[in-house]
Amino acid sequence: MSVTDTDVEGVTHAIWQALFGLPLTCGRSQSLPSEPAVTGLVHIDGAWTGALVVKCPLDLAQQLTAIMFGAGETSVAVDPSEDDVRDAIGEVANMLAGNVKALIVEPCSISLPAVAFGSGVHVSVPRSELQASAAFLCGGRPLEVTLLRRTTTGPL
Amino acid sequence: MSWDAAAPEQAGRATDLHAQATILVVDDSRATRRILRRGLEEAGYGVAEAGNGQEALSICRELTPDLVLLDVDMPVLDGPATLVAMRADPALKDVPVLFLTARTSASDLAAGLTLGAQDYLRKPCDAVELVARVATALRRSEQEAALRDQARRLDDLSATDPLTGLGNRRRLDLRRQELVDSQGGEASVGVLLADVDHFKVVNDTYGHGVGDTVLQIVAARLRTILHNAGTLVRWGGEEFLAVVAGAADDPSEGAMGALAEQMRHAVGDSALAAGTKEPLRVTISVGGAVGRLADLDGLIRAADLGLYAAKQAGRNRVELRGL
Repeated sequence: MSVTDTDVEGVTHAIWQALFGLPLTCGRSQSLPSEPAVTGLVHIDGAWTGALVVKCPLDLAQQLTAIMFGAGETSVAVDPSEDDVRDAIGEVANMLAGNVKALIVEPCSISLPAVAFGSGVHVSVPRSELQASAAFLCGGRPLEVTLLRRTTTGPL
Repeated sequence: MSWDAAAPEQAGRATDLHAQATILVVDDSRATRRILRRGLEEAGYGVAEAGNGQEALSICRELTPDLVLLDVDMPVLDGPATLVAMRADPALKDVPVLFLTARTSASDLAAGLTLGAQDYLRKPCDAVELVARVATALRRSEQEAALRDQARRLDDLSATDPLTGLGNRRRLDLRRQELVDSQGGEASVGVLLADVDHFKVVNDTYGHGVGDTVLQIVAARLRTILHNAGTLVRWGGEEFLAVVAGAADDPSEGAMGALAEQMRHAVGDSALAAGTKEPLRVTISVGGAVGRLADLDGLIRAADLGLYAAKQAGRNRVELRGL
């Protein structure tokens, strides 16, 4: 089964609605500006091999983190630390990958998430190609979700 | 519905029955633990947290939560391995577990349920669904506990003689299996079979009500002698069977003979308050045998022969047999 851009959009919308309650609009023309950003990645391995990548500017990541931690409950939540952001974006990537996994060939497993900070972070999975992607605007800030698929077998 | 701060207001509240329930939330993401804690606490539940399966097992052994929400993919010890460890621990095997995971394929759900999880919650899950599923799982867990308790009581009743409160033949069968499992068939065992002398005369003279009372008193006196030294059951009618085996017991011929004499004296040396005008005295005859646990049926037959010999020799006496 192949996953389409529309599938990725649908999964992302559903998670955003359930997790954040924030409006999320599709905006394929939007690209992330060269500013501090956060990238979350989860590998998918098995009958279908690849990776899911989610990327957004740091300020949006901080806003999402604050919501997940319960903004206003604690000072940590109001001003999330880098560790809080890593935790939150990693969990968002995990949820996205888990929900995408339901759409692909079984059996597959997903890795624990990895999170990177920095504007110049470019994630690549060796011998992979773009399977599907979706770009959004969340409160006017860009968000990208990308699904990469490995095209050949063998060790990475 | 979202997991934001407003969501729990619309979520159900824990019932009074579950209000004190403690839910252990196990997830490597602090953000997810925070979300779950918020939803559960606003519904009235107590919440404890663990960041991986190993931490969860430690906390479970300290506070035995009423329910565990268990993430599947975690570092150190993942959800499935944690659940397997819980099910292998007698203190935790009945604690209900709900898997909580982003892995949402049918095979993932089936795998979790096969391992013994009660239910599966997909991440992200809204607060209303979370609280509803937790409440349902707690209710089901309570019903299962009640059923287990009922089954235990029924099992106990099925192995108990209702008149005397002693065990019956089924209790002996269960005890025999326990002994074989714990000591092996070569372990020494002593068997004493006691029978109330002239019991038919008691029934014919005073009626079956008095006869029943006599059996109850005899059973109580024999139980006092046996203490925990063996298993005493009502073998049938006016017969009582004592089986002595175990590391703390002495099933030697000498010890069994002495025990049989104590039983005989306990019953026959003083009158029974069985509701008759005149004090009623009854005696017992005892046949016994000593041998191997694996030969228990043969030992009981030998004890029966000893009992027959004791009756033939005039009653109110003990006859031990070897095998």
